[in-house]
Amino acid sequence: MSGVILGELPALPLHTAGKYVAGAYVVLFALVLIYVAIMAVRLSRIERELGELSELSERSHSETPELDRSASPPSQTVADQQNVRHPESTPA
Amino acid sequence: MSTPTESPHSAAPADAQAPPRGEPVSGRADAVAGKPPGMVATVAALLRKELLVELRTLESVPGMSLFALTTFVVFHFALNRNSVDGDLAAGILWVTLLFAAILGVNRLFVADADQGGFDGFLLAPVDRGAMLVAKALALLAYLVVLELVAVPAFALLLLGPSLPNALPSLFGVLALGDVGVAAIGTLVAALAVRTRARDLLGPLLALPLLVPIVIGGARATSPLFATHATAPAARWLLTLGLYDLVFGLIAYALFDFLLED
Amino acid sequence: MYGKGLRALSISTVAVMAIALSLVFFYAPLDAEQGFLQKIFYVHVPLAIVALCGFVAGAIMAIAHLRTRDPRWDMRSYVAIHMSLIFGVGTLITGSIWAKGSWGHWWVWSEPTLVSFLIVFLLYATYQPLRFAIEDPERQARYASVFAITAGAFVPMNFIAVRLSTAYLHPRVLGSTSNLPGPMALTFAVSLLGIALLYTTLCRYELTAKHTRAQLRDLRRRLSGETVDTQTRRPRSAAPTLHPTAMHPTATMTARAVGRPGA
Repeated sequence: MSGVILGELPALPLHTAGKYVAGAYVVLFALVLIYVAIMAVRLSRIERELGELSELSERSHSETPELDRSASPPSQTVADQQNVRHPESTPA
Repeated sequence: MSTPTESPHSAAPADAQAPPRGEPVSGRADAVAGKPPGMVATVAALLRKELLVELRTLESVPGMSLFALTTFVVFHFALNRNSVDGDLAAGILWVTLLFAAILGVNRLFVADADQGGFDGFLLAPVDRGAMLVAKALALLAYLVVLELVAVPAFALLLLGPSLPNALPSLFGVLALGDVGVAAIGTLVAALAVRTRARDLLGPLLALPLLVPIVIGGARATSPLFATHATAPAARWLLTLGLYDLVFGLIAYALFDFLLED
Repeated sequence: MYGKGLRALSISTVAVMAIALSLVFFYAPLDAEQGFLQKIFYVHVPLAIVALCGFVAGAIMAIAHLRTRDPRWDMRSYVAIHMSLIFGVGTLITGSIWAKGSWGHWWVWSEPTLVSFLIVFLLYATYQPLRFAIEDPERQARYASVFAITAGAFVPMNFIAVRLSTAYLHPRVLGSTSNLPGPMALTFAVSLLGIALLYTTLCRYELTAKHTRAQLRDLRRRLSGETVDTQTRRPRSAAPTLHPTAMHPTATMTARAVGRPGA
């Protein structure tokens, strides 16, 4: 059960096999890090969108409801159609 | 490209109660009596339609056969060999048959997709799996005809050792492989036909799925093409048979989901 | 809520991976034949096993999707297959490094694990193009599920077939997990657990991100729906995304999956 003690490590042929082992573990590390980078980009995009949306909600709260309704009647019906369409869609 | 007027899939959207035009007499008798045609009758009707269409339009089988012959010539020049035997011969034959089969797979559902054949079929009160079985049997028939042309051509053009003793075993192995190719080819064809890049996706999906069949088929065939022919190893025949069974069942179970709309 | 268990999951992943790496380099004995090079085994084989299980899990989730028509299952299937594909690439690269180290070639046909993985990789590489080639989101999900189930059944059969075909050429050197001595077996088990946890954490991370984007989109639609009709301007995409109402426990099966550019 003793296994390999730390002090024995320098006796290994590190100049040959070590490169490959290191390479393999670096691959694993790199995959995870690439994923972290992708998620970081997504997170910043989410943060930006969230900022835009909170700005949007502030604007719509500061305007009065009447102004909103009179401003865009045609699009209102589009939104109504969307709301109506949803409950009606049924699975096959 | 003309389709016969009696084919079920060219029928206009029909009343679900009335039988689709073009059912064979037995089916029509059933439907007149109020019962929808059974599985066997449906498969028979569809298969008959497929084979009739193929006979009249000749769009798959001659092309596949010609492709196989041309490929043998290409192999001769590519490998710079006058005759091959053993592993090499088995490999050339199987690769050629595989790619010719892909050509047939690409064409399998094209007529139905482009001319509304699916819609007509979906309106009929029949088991949808019947279309899979019928198309797979049709593809199997095309493959058998392909091999009836390609194997003698191969023996003539490229094969070193003489063939006659090994012929029955060879056709047995080919038959096992063909069943698998037919099952997987039909499923993949149905999957790919209603996508945007159908000619590209079909082969891309089919080839990896067909690799185990090539493995089993080529390994089983290579002792037949040896200078002193011996019987194929049973393990490869078992592999082929098992693969055919598993994917036949899976294709049958999944086909309905492809036809839904 | 996909993010709920994420913290506990990621912490346990870090812990187990740290223990695994320590075991690999400080505890596991040197292999008699391959020496230090054998340590790649502890990253290559767990990656392979987890990737394969991931593909099969993706197939099982696809079955659930076809049975329940719940788009969430399609989403999970998509993420599982995507992540398994990445782990599969990792398997191929680490296997290739190992082959170079022990045989001198970057690729060996005699190693059935590598060969099977290549075929499986080529098959699953068509998953995304298939999805992208179908515009209708419901049909895209359905066809993708059919593919996932077929491919999931293919994976074990492919392994059997390839292993049969290479059995008599060379004895298996790289990947055998049978008769490992005790310390090696323990190290292997812990590494396997670590990679499996890593896979689960990354999948959950991905699902949380997609869900968040879907909620943001829904919020945007609700806030600006009077002026902007976003439905018609949505381009094609291969990735499924969910209508957030599908997440609500009382949502019916009428919630549709909607396509959006790669979330």
